[in-house]
Amino acid sequence: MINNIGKISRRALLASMTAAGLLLAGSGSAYAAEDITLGLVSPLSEPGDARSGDAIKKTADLWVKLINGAGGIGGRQVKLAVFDDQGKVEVGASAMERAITEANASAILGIWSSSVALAQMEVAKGYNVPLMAFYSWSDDITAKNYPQVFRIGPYNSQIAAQMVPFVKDRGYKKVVVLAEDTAYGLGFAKAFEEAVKAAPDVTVEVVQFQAQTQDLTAVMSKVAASKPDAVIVQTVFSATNLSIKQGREVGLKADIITGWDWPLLPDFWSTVGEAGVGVVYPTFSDPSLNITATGKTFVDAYKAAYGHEPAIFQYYLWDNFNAVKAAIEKSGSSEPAKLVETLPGVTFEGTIGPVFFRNEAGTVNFHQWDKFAMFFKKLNKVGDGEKEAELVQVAK
Amino acid sequence: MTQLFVQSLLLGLLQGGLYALLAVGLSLVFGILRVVNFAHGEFAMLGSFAAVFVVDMLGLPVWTGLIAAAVAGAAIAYATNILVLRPIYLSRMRQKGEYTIIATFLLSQFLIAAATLSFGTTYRKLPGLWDQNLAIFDYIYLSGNRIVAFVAAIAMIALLFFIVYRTDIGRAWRALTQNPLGAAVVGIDVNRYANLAFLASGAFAGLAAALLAPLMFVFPASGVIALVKAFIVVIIGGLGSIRGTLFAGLLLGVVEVMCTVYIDTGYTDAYGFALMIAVLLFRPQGLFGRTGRAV
Repeated sequence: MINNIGKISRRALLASMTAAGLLLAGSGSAYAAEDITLGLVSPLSEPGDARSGDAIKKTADLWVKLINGAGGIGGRQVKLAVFDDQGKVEVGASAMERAITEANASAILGIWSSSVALAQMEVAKGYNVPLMAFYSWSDDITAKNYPQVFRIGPYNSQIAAQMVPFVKDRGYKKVVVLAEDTAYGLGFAKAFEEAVKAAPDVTVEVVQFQAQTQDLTAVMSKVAASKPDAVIVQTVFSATNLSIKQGREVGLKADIITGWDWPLLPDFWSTVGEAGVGVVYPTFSDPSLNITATGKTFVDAYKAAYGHEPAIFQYYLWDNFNAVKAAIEKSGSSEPAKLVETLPGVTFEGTIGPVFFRNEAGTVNFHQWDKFAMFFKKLNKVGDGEKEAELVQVAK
Repeated sequence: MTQLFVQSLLLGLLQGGLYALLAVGLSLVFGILRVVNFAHGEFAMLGSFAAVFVVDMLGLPVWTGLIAAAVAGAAIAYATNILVLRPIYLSRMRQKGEYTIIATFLLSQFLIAAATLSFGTTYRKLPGLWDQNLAIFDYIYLSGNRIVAFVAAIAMIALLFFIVYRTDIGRAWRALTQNPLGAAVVGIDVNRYANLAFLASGAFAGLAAALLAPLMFVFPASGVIALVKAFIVVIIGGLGSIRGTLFAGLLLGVVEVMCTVYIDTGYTDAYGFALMIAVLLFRPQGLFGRTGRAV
């Protein structure tokens, strides 16, 4: 009996040593032969912007399905490790850490709220893992020049600069920026105040409010009483539609310009009703956009899967995923450190044109793609969607 | 007085009436059972989803939505009492209060998650009984639905006053509030009146949410802020005091709106907390509460 145990132990010892040797031999390329894991850290539940989180998740799932259906990346299948950041800074940073340390994600995508992204960047920097932003608008995301952080999508100061000519051309003299108290909302307000210096006859008042509020009547009463010509609403939470509805309730007569194209979300008309008529929204999407073959593949697959067209920010997210794919193909590795090195130099066909990063150190245009145009569109009747909205101005 | 001042005062009072309606059920249950119910906001949220279902999906008139909200709120509150809370407050365990807080907090998180899975994350709106924006003398601008909601809230609170001070149910509730052991000794059925209190509490929460729904939106997390406001109101008014709840609701509404308009727009919720802290400092039992007395 003792001898048997001895024999088994020797076999076990040999097997263990062999396995250990193999592990050691492969330890330098832990990411080489296995499936590729990409981390998706998004607001999937309240108090985060779960509506947008849902769209992000759908886009990511579809991308993974199509890539794996086509044989994966370099023959390796891709899987998503999904984490909910709840729109909270501390939860987002923790989710990011878990995506890196527990799921061994090669890159993190799907980040949304700027405030959360700014905390997540520190985690990405600490672990040297790529963090891909697409609709987090705070300038600081790329202005901090972290080697690990990339953005294929717009940013506050550029959007603000493009809004100023529109404000001038419309003849507005007094503009209120209604900004939620987040890095996104206040970041835009600050950028707009800076950009509007180019139009000295326009005065700007920033009215800040709590992002999670469910009642804006008091705030909108104050805004209405100041009799502005236009109100720019910069928010992503329930204040989006509330600001329009409750603004009209308390007698706001000014033009309302939304900070982004949320009026295209499915709940806009059902919640705002008549108050939405006349609203102007900026968007990066227009039928005149040159949708590439990559873009057409995405749109067709999305419509087939979910029954409606994707919003423009989902195009940028698709390009984010393809940027990571391009970096893995170029470097031949899914190791985060290799991707950090490779991503700045990748070029590929995006959904609306070629994608490449500007790498101007010391500026916001560091690891930043910025080839987008901004279209200002007006909703003239209840139920107007992207196709029916009137194009009132283009800023390029 | 400027237009903005008059408008703000009116908005504050109208808002305050709804705060009071939201809070009155919370206060009632605490007064009778000493249960701090963290799921109260979710009774309201589920009530408003019931109203959306009846009005939007079944196409029934708006007033049926209010009834549906009250019924749904009452049913969920009743089930919560039977399944979650009663085993705790009738047990012999110590720290019942802490256990009820933990249980109702977890229930609240569960109900939000269940609603998110069931109804999705999009915002929904309920049509109101008076869907019109009013420009009174082109001086005061109010939503018709806000006026309807306020009138309904005051009427419901008046009904509750009547029940509490003029009916046998109310006498039993007051007896339980004053001395639960004594009330049981003289034959008051604690279970029965606790059930009735939860039914009323859930109905009021559901109704308040359905009245608020045309003014705001319905979504799974909408009960969270409602709960915070309701807690502030009952603490300011005095836990268990219905009169205090009404007064505190109106006070909170006016303070929030006035401070938002005249001090800073960025701290609307903070003004309520500041008011609550001030009351706790100078009158810990609340404006209409009574200091406790050991039996």
